[in-house]
Formats: sequence, C-alpha cells, structure tokens
Amino acid sequence: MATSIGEELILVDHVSKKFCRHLKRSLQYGVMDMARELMGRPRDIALRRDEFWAIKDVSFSIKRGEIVGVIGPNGAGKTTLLRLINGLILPDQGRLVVRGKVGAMIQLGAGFSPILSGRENIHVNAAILGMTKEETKGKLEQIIEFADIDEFIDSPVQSYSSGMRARLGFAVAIHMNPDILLVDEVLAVGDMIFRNKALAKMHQLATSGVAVVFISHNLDQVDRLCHSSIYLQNGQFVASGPTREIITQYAKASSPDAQGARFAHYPGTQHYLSILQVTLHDEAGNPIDRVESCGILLIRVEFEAKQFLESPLFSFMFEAPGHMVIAAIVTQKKGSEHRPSFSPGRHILETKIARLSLIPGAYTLRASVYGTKEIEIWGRISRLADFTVIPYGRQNVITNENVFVELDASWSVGSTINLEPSDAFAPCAPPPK
Amino acid sequence: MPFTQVSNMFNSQETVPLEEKIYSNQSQILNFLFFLNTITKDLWRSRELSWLLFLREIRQRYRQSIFGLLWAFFPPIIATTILVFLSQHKILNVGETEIPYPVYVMLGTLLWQIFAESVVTPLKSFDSCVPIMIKINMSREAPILAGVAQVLFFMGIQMVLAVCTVIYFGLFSPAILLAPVAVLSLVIMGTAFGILLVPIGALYKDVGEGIGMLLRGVFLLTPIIYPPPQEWPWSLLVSLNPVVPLLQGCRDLMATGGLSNPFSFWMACALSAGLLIFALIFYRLTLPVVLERLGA
Repeated sequence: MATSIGEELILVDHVSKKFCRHLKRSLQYGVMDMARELMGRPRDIALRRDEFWAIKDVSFSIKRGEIVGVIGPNGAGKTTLLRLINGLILPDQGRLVVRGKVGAMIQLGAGFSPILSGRENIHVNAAILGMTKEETKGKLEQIIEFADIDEFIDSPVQSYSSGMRARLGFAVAIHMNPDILLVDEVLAVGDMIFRNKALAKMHQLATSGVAVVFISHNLDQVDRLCHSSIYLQNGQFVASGPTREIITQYAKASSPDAQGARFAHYPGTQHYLSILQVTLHDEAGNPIDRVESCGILLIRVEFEAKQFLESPLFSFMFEAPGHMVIAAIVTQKKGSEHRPSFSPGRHILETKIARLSLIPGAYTLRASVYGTKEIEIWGRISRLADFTVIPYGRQNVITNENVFVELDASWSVGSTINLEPSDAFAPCAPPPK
Repeated sequence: MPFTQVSNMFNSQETVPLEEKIYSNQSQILNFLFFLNTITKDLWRSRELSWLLFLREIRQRYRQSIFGLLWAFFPPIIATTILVFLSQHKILNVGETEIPYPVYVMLGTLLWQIFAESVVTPLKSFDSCVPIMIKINMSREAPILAGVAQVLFFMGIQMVLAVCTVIYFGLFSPAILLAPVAVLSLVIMGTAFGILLVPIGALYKDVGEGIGMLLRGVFLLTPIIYPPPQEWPWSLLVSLNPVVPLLQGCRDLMATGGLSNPFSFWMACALSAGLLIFALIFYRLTLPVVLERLGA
C-alpha cells in the first residue's frame, strides 16, 4: 500500500462496518469486542447473529478543495461513513487515512446547555469541536456576527428559537478552520437566508482548500454545492461521478414508480378519473422518449373519466431529478375562460409545446387535475412519463450552472459610441433547432 | 489573485505537515508506545475543554439552587449529629476511638463521601457527554477530567468542614499539611475504580445502579463510624480493603499528627497511581467499541 497520499485528505480503502439489529445482543458483542481489543486481536470479520453490514467494501478518496455529496436512501450507510471518517467508530475491515483537522457539522450546537447564555455556550461548543481558548476568543465576534443573534447573545439558549440555535451551532462549527469538513443533514433548519449564507460559506471554504463531505436528503442542495457525489445503497457503493448524473441515477432508482407503479394516483383521488396511457411525440407524431432542448414536444394523454367532470383544470408538471417541479403547463390559456367538460368514458387530451425550454437532463412528467372551482383535487398522478432532453449546439455552457429552464429571448447588440438605432439593434438569430 | 492566495495557503500547510490518522480493524494495543503517546497528548489537549465542561456543570447545578454549596455540608453534619447522639445514649456502641468520637465520625464520613463521589463521578460525567461523543470526535478524556475537577471542587468544600472540625476540637497539628496528599490519593483510587467501570457501565445501566449499592455496603464494612477491629478474622476487613489505609491515613494526619501505619499508607498511594494509569489505558482502548454500541 502506498504511504504517500499526496493531496488526498481522505482515503477510504475497502472499508466495511457491521452493526447489530438487536440491542441486548449488540451490547453483548460490545463486551466481546472490548475483550478482543484488550487482547490485541483484530476485529471479527464474520457476521454474528443479527448483524448486518452497514457499510460494505466502500472505497473512494477526496482531495483538498473538493466538495463531495453523499446521497442514498435512509439506511444506506451515509452517516456511518461520516462517523468512520470522523474516527468515532473503527472499521471492521479495510482502513481509512484522514489527514488534517476534521470539523464535523453533525449535530449543530452539540452540548448546548439551555440555561447557559449563548456566549457561554459558544466557548463550550468551540472547545468540544477542538478549538483552543485563544482561537475562540479571536473568533468570538465573527461567530456572533455570522449567527446574527447579536442582541440575544447573553440570554440563555433556552429562550432561542430552534433556527437561532442551529445558526449559532453552525457559526461555531464553520469558524474552526478545519482541513476536512463533514456535514450531515444540518441545513434542514434555519430560514432561507441563513441556508444560502451557509451554502455560500461552505463553498468558500472549499475554494480555500478544505475538503467537504456533504450529506443531505435535499438533492437540490447537493446539486448546488457538490462537484461530485457518491451514491450509496444498503451500505454498498453504487456509483460516483459528477453530481447531476449521480442525482439523476438516484432519483430514477428511488422514485416510488421505479418498481413499476406508473400512473400512481394520490390516495383518495382515483374516483374521478384514471390515466390509461401517456405518450410523447415529435412534431410529425412519431413516439419519442428524447427531445432536443428548445424543440417541439407533443404530449398525448388518454384517460377515463369515471364520472362527469365539469370544467376540470389539468396541470402537467415537469420534475427535475430530485422531485423538484421546475415548470408546468395548464389547460387554460392566459386570457381564456373556456375549459371543456368530460362525460364519463374515454378521452384523449393532446397538448403541443412549441418550445420546450428545458435544459438537457432527465425529466419526469406528472399531473394534477383540479375541480371546477380549483379547490378540490380530482387527480394527482406521479410519473406519467420519463424523457430526456438532449442539448443543441453550444448549450453545454448553461448545463454547468444550476439552471433548468432557458427562457425564450431575443438579443440585440448596441454600441454606446455610435448610437444609430436602425443598424445598432439587430436581432440575433434564434437558436438552431 | 485568488490563485496565489490558494497556493500560499497550500505552501503554509506543507511547512506544518498535516496530522495523519489511520483507522483500521487492528487493535490499538499493538502499537503500544504510539498509543501511550496519543493518550498523554490528548490528556494535555483536553485541559481547556475539561475546565469548561466542569464550569458548565457547576453553573448548571447552582444556577437554579438557593442553598447552592451548602448542600455539600448537610450530609456529614447530619450524619455526625445523629451518630454522636446515638453513641452518647449508648444506643449504638462503637467502642473506644483514638480521637474524640464526633471528630472520628465527622472526618470518616467526609472522607468516605469524597471517595464515593470519585467512584461515581466518571460514569456520570461520561454519560452526560455520550450524546455529544457519539456524534463529534471530542476529546475522549475530557469528560473524565471534568469529573475529576468536580470531585476536587467537592473535596475542597468538604475539607473546609474537616479543618473547621479539627480546629474546633483543638487537634490541629502541622501533620495536617500532608493531608492533601492523602486525600488526593483517595480521589485517585476512587477515580481509577470509577474509570474502570465506565466502559461496561456505559453499556449496561446495571453498573450505575450497582455502584450505589456496593458503596453503601463497603461503607458499612469500612471502619468509618466504628474503630478498626483488631481480632482475626475481622481484622481482614481492614487489611484486605484498599480504601482503609488511605482513609485511616487521612484521618491520622488530620487529627493525631502522625501516621499509625505508614507502610500500608504509602503502598496504597502507589497502588492508586498505578491503578489510575491502567484505568486510563483500559478506558481509551475500549472506548471506540463502547461508542459504536451506543451510537448504532
């Protein structure tokens, strides 16, 4: 095994870790493991009764300045992995090499004492995270400012809102100047302003050379922050690579319909109508499952009205990876009052999108059907169809950003020196179809 | 410009090599010298955190209390009053003690309390830090050191009471200046026992329940409220009990001005020190396993 790991700060080398489902037995194994440790014997590799692999044979490395997302369903082993990197638990197989100071944002405000003031708690919390007294003193003002709780800093923490507590915890953790930052699902609290501030700060740390490992179920945050991601499932390594690709793969695998349940109706809404078939077509009417960005898309929905549907409003929504709806169309045009009604029986609804302004990627179509007055919901159907948007020409520039929709715009170029309206404002050519 | 900043930062990082940690499934005991080195380094590093944890504990305890520190004085005063009352009226017949019985009982119960507190505190202090320790790689020794600080604080208060008692009864002698060594040894021995109980005690709550019961039993078997038995086989109670030489020694130094059994006293001091070192190694070795079982 090579001893030099260069700029790599974290090396995870064929690491496995097992846990026990049964509490009493787990404690018993704990006592046995203690005895092994004291006798100088390595950990037992075989699975004992009720044990399972929480992490199985996972390998990867993270370099300075990288932000790596770890995604996967509950129980995939994400937190276990972080605890291994943090040195809280030791691997049963394989080894980890961790270089530099590790900062963990795993439980914000760990050890906050409710009856002590915010200021007192900053000192304790910082010391828990490994900061010296001088470091804390030097950064106290910055911490208070970042947490934005100036006026409450000398009040007991029990009078804080949960968001304020999280902010204070985050502010302390981010100011400890780590080489490696481990973040586990901590941006679920706090308001939008703070979350953005926190994400920006983490990004800034990465550019200054910190390696960040970021765990979140919020795929949007992972997408915004992480260059690359690791996808775990049942303790096993599934894939790693550029975040967009990994998220797409994860989203596909984890959508409830991946197991075949297409046209899944929201509970209680199946009495009004049911979807029979959904197909996508190009301009010529040929069925397709990929469409060029800014091209034409026809959606054809066949459904059965189970009762008389008076003037329903259909809304089709485009879902980006991670279940985020990023665009929608409705069956009532701007300025129009007209909405058709449907008698019981089979109907076909067709719509033409003249310019599908979606950025290349994988998308899913879902639908909601609202009642006459748009109060009642008559249908809510997930995953009508999956399709891929492929890029046209130079469009890759945009896909690197966290953008999903390219707006239809016309451009003109003007000169400030010679302002001749007639020829200075020449419309650009529309994007090639 | 940002590029030069980044590269400067890397350069400065290179001059101070990053600390490298390797985690594997091999027992930590195999590289024993390295392991010892890590423990001593971490003990030194954890001093600030331990102090803060101690302050936090004390503040929490007394911020919502009216009597505050007085609570530490009540038990020995009450115990002494009751025992003196019982023996004066011959309800309790404890025989002759070298020093006045009230002083004997007072010092005995005070010292025993210090010892009992040292045994109980490591596990209590550890338990209070478990929620943090399973999430954050905080100093492993800090909860233990914070516990020791609590015991020393408590000890200081008790000692004030002890010295007052000695002076009141006119037994003051220069030997009392050696008493702190004796009391510290008592704390060290208690803490060592306490630390040894932490790994199992953290897993099984039975240990926490058991300690209290055991201590009450040992209290009655230790010559604290009665003079040490001299005849065989009852004298075994004294010679086999490692707490007795220290407790007796303390009481001697404070009230009689000399040690009645110097050899066993200094042996017990050395034993305490050795036991503490062993306990710290044992604790550190078993801790990853404990945290793994608690956090799963």
